[in-house]
Amino acid sequence: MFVMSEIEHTLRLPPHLLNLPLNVAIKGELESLFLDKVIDKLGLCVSVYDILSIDGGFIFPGDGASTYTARFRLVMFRPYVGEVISARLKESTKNGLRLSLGFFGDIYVLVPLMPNPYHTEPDPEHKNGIKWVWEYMGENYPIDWTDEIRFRVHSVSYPPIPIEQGIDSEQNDSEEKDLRQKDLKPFAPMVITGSLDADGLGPTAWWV
Amino acid sequence: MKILQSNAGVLTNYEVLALFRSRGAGKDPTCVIAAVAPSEFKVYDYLEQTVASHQTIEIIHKFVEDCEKYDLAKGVMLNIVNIRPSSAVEIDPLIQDCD
Repeated sequence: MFVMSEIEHTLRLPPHLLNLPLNVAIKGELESLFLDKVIDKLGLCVSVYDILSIDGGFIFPGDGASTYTARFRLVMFRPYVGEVISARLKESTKNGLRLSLGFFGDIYVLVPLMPNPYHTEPDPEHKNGIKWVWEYMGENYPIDWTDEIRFRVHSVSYPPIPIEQGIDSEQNDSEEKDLRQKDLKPFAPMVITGSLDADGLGPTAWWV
Repeated sequence: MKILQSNAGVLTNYEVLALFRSRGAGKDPTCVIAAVAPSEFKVYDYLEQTVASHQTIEIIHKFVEDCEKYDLAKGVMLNIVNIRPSSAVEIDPLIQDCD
């Protein structure tokens, strides 16, 4: 699930940090720059592992802060295809399931990757929710909200950042605009597609 | 920003948990004093709930030694260490062509 990546980056150290020891200040700057951000093809940055070297310390003309080139290692969350991970259920709709790990919530299991054969029931507790039930050998196995669900990573994708759409000047009805914005899901820079379609996957309660 | 090595080493869940523990994540319930950021704390909470919270480095070394004779792929060994399957049906999705 976690991989180390080695990165080199040139960063500017703001002058108010000059009283701290250098590596503490650089680590703090790196954390604010990279932590909890997704880097394309590398994954979600979870932590700064260590700093390998710090070079530079030049001050450019007209600037009060010094610029350093640092080489460091980051702990990245980047599951590989075929990895099995335990997660919790976040949403269950007609398109499939959405699972969450607490620190990462964009894991989708779409309908073709659900265990076959299955049937769905409308869920009385959640609005627009669908309860998924797997049928096997005459028994019905539902996917409940309290389960710990194991899924296999099918693919990891990094959709490109969407370009902002221009404001529509003819849009007088603000209520309609609010509805449209509510339907749009917040942009997810990293999306994992999971599969539940194999022995041993799905809620652990099914197999124990 | 330049990426020097995109894969400088794979870490098991246990190693990442040990990294957070060494920074003091487990001792402070309010996580204000420890050198752990709130987003790192979420990862720590998730890892505490998995089997990694009960592992030690000796167990993992011993497991890797014992598995040498089976000639497993690294990804498969990583899966087994992270999930700790306790029955045959749980191992099936981890290994292809399991027999």
